[in-house]
Amino acid sequence: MHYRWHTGYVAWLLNRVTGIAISLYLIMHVWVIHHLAEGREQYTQVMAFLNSPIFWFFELLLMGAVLYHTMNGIRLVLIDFGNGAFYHKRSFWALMAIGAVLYVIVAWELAGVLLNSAGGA
Amino acid sequence: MKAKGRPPMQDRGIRSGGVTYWFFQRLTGILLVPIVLVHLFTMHRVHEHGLSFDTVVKLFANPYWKLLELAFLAVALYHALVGVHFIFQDYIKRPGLRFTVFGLVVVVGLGLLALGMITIFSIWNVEAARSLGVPLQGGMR
Repeated sequence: MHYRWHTGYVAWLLNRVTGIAISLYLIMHVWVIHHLAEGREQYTQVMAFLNSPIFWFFELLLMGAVLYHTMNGIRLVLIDFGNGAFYHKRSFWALMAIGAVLYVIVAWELAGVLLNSAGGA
Repeated sequence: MKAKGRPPMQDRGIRSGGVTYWFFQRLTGILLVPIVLVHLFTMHRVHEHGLSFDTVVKLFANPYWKLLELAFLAVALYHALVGVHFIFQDYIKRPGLRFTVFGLVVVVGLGLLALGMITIFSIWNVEAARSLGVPLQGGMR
């Protein structure tokens, strides 16, 4: 089968990729956070392990995936429940622009908190 | 008599109830926007104290927070696993394997729902439990 790289196809493909990534994160998150039920020592150990640059990087990727999936989700709701099909390409790029701005803000905030927690606390 | 031309809907991967799944995927997607926002903003605020055991337990001692997290757990697992299920079904052709993978997705979903609920319910109102003399689990002594 041959696909052409149209806006709608790229949007659909990225929605799948980010959806799988967020689902994998959700599974890991529910698993990891259950150490909360095992008490203070267990939980503190796990959190110390997760407070490292590699996981910060994953966190930044996760925020990007969540933002994309949300922005494209808004587009899908406009298409399915509104008349978004008539402007689905324009709405894609408009939402991506909003998403990019939001991502810069989120990444900035996240970097501040992560660097702060690395320094002390 | 066997129908000519297009195979029956079931053989083309189209089952009745597809519209329901589509509708609920949109509905849960819309619901997840405010829930994720509240979850992330609260965690961000709490993160300033390093997300320590005590701050998280204090947060979860609030019954409204417990309710929100329970809703988040159920809605997010539903949305995620229905999505993953349909992606699997798009690429897996063998009927036996399709069913096995469907079963696996259901088992993983129910297992994670149980695990998440245990996590949320393991944190009761610590102060109330102490004053009533209720024995507390794990690190919540």
